[in-house]
Amino acid sequence: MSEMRWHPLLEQWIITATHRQRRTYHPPRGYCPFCPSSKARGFTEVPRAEYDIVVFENRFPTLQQHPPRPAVLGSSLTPVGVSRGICEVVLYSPEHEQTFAGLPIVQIYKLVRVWSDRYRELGARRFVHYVLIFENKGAPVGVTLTHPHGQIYAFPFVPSLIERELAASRRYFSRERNCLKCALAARERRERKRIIFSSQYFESFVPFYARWPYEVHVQPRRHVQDLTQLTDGERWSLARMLKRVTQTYDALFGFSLPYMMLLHQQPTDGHRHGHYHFHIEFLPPNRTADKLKYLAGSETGAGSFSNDTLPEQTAAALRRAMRRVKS
Amino acid sequence: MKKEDIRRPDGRYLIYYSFDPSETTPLASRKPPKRAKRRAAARRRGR
Repeated sequence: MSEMRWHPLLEQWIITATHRQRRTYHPPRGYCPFCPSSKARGFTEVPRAEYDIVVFENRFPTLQQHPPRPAVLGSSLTPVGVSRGICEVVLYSPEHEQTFAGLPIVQIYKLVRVWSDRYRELGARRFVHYVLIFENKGAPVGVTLTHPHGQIYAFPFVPSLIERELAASRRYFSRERNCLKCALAARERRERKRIIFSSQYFESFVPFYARWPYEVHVQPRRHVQDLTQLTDGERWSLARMLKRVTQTYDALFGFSLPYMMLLHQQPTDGHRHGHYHFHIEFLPPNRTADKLKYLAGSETGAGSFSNDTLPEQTAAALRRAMRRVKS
Repeated sequence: MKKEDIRRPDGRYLIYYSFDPSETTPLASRKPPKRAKRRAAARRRGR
């Protein structure tokens, strides 16, 4: 059973998807459903052994192209909707042991182009109002299939966190006639303390207002709203930047760091969002090498984040880690 | 960039993306095509 139920206090949709309880959870050792099919391992999700990048519909999707009718009746107090959307899996490589940080830059460039194509193609469908491209990496963020992959959710609505970003960006633009993210990046450039790496087209920094200790934002210097607006030079620059950020994460504590990576692009809801600035957020759950930040009472129950570290100090630690990558 | 769209027996799609090597060379390091080289050489010779 699957439907969208309206949360009237938070004014957002909650998606039920009971079929997802059956999804693959820690497959048997030696079996990976994302590795190419072979005589030895049998049939998997990917019939072909050689490919650049593969995209396929999730076998256990939260949102479906042809969803069932809601199992419950809605009311004016608590409306119910069909959970129509698309959920895709993006495989970065046929190699099971690979990670994003280990991918050659040319492979990340290809991935950027595939992301851009998926954003354009999914966003062109009338029922898709928002395309969220993301990667969950590592057991602490719930990953049970370790094959290098990301996901795409094509939502029939604009998710609430994005709505808040859009509203703040819109308000700032109408007040200052300037982009909020451009203004914040200019401040980071002036102060320099939280910048991790700058290139001709992109920059990465721990934001002044980081919610997670090692949170990093990657954003283009040029004011663009989504991936499709990037030039080829900018796509290469983004690929190099993403490689560098993920390598820096792995050098930080000496192990492959878990994270959530989220591409924040403009909605595809038919409205104009020229005030919005495309960016990528990296949210690693580690606050030290062996301690995690949990979203507990304050964060989950009240939406109030506390950060046990100072962004200026974690940025300095990330810069030191980055120098270790270079040497 | 080429896309090969395959439909599975259960109705789900799978797309193989592939790239020609000439598409995945950064612009700065791309060699100009031979025709452009010939034209440049002709310009230098004053034709």
